[in-house]
Amino acid sequence: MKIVENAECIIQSVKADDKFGERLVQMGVLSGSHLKIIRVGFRGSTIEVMIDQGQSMALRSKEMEMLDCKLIAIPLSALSPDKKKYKIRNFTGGHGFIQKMKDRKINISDTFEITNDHPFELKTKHATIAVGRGEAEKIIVEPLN
Amino acid sequence: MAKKKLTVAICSIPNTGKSTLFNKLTGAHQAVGNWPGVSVEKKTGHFALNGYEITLIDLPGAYSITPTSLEETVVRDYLLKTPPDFIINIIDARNMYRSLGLTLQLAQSGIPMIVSVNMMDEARRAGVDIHINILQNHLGCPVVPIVARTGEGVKNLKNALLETIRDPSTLRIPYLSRPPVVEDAIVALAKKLDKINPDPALNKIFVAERLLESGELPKGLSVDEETLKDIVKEVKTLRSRTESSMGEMLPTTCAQCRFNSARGLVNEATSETIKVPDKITDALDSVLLNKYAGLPVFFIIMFLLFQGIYALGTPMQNIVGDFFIYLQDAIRNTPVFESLPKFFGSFLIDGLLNGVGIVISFFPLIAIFFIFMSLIEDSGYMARAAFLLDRLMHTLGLDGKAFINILLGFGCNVPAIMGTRILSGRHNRIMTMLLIPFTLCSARFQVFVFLAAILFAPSTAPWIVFALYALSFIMVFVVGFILKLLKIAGKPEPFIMEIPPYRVPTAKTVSLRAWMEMKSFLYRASTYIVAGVIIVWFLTNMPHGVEPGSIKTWAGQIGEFLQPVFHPIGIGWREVISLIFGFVAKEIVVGSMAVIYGTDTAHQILTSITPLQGLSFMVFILLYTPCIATIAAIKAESGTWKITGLSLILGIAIAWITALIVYQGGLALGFR
Repeated sequence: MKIVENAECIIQSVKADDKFGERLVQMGVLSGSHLKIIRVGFRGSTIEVMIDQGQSMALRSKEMEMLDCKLIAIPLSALSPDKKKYKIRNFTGGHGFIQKMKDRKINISDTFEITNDHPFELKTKHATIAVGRGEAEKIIVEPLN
Repeated sequence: MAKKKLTVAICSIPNTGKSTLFNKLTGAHQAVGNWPGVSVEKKTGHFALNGYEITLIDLPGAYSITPTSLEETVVRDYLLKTPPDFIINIIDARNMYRSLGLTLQLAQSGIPMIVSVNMMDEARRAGVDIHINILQNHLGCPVVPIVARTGEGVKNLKNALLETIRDPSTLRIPYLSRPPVVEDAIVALAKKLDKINPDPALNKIFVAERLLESGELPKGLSVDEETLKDIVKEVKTLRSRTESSMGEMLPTTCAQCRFNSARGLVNEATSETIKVPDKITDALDSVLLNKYAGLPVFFIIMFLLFQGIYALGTPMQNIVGDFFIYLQDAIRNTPVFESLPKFFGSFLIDGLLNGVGIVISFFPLIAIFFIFMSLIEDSGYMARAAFLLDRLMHTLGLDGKAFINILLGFGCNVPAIMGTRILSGRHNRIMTMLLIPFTLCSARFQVFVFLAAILFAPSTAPWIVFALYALSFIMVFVVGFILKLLKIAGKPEPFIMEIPPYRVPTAKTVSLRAWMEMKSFLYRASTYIVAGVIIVWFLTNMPHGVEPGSIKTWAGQIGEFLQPVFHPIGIGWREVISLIFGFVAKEIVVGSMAVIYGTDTAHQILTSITPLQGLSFMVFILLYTPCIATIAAIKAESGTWKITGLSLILGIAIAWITALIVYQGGLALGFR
């Protein structure tokens, strides 16, 4: 999975045949566990992950990438045009930001496709909306199948 | 009536307050900290409970007794081979899920257990409400809410323990649902176990599950070859059968069963209140762990700490130092002293009092150092430092946790090296063990403060010491890189580290920690530092009749003999003597210099060593073998003379080469 702050995933399976998986399993990180990347360290090698039950752990992004996960949330800014459908999950900005998005007809649970990423263009049922990079970081989306 | 003796083991996952509870129960003083893995070996204490004499054992933190690390192996072997009479398990109230996996595993063991839910105050503040009776019903044992830090509920815990000791009939083993194929395999194996008679205190299902998971039999069983073979074969068949039908490793299946129960139990026992995220931790981490600001902030914190230690400690050091000079003068002027033989008087004042006095004068400096150190440990910043430095450590093939040990080395190398056993994998342990001796420990710090104050202007002295800190950091990485290239320590390991929430350090834990370090400093000062100082005095005053402290003395002879080796790095015979004694402990370097140079030590040193020679001397002290205790710790932890020898040679060689570069380079640049 993509290593980016605010991304969330659900573990599909942990292979306990290596040390990393073995240890995660005994710490209660198992298939069905919900992980959220809350911090990516300097130059991206070390990350801080929050496990569904509120425990915070430091891991390496390399090992995280190896996990069999289903992505359930990712900031819009980490995506590129791919003809896939996404749903707005939530915003990380404050009230002002949410109002601003509302005014531009971007609401939680709207579905869209990404048509461009310089700047971001979201094609919804009704319109195509342009979003700045900074704004895209605060828009958390969920991939739809 | 003789008291009845019982053994009780505290067993829980890391960072749940085991050591704090241990201290509360036994009244002992044990180091605690807010980062996972403070208790690295099992410690024992005693307390009396209404006619029972309880031996309390503090086991190292373990996530489960299906071992994936050394400390977990220690715990499993302990429980299987010498089951205690009771277990006290601790659950972290802020996050019960992470603790319950182990609790459920322990509850299967058949050993009577009491569960305490610790950090209730922090859970309350976070809005988590825990229904103790639900936990109690599900776990089948008494559950007591406590706050180990303040002692709240500890009395109830003792009462619950007493009641269970008197009447264990209320206890039962909780039901854990497993897939039928796993259940069948465990039951089948448990039946076979009757033949080898495991400890009757242990539940057979529990032993069978451990056996099936690990595939190895507990050692020291009195069974014949035939039965043993039979059981090993049975374990293999059963295991491969369950694994192929479940499609995953057996330990994963078992963990899944436990944690499914744990998840359900948490949902049932906690209120519906939405968990409030720890706002303070979030806010602090957004700065302290910031992608760009985190590392600079770390170095600024380190620098400020250093400045703080220096600014607060040195004036106090002067006060204590002045007191000893006053004491020397006072004794010198007493009629009793004047009646003593001159030789003995010189021994008492120039030797013992001067040498030990200068060492003791560092007492306040060390106290402040350890107060700051325990502030970092107890607040939870230590784990953050590990997170920040992980990337850098990764280039050495190590991880952030190893950095914590290296940071601890700046306090004292010995506990830092003992602490390497919490690291995962032999590679990490050996590497870290070899790097720790290059850290500027608090004993070396004393030597540097002492010498820098004499040889350099008051405004430059702190910077010289700070530069030595920087050099120490750099050398750790340089040596680490060399070791990595030489592939001495083997293959690196994956990195998983818990990051605890921040916590306000209590005055009690901080002062306790500082006091423990003080005690061990005073112990060293009063035992082998005194001994070292006495030996140095004799060497520098013998044979009888020669001028004390001259080249004709025994010390002078030794120094002169070694002179050719030390000449290129600008170290004179007097310093060579103190270096030899520095092997025992670095504090002796200061003490022995005081004895060698006699009264008015500072002035004498200033006239015979140039600043550049002093610097080369300090660099050598920074990098060569820290002390005998460190060597002993490396031998004990690595288990081989090879690594111990390597550490010795590495230290001396690197010290000599670096000092050569500093001294000859300095000369070439025109310094003196």
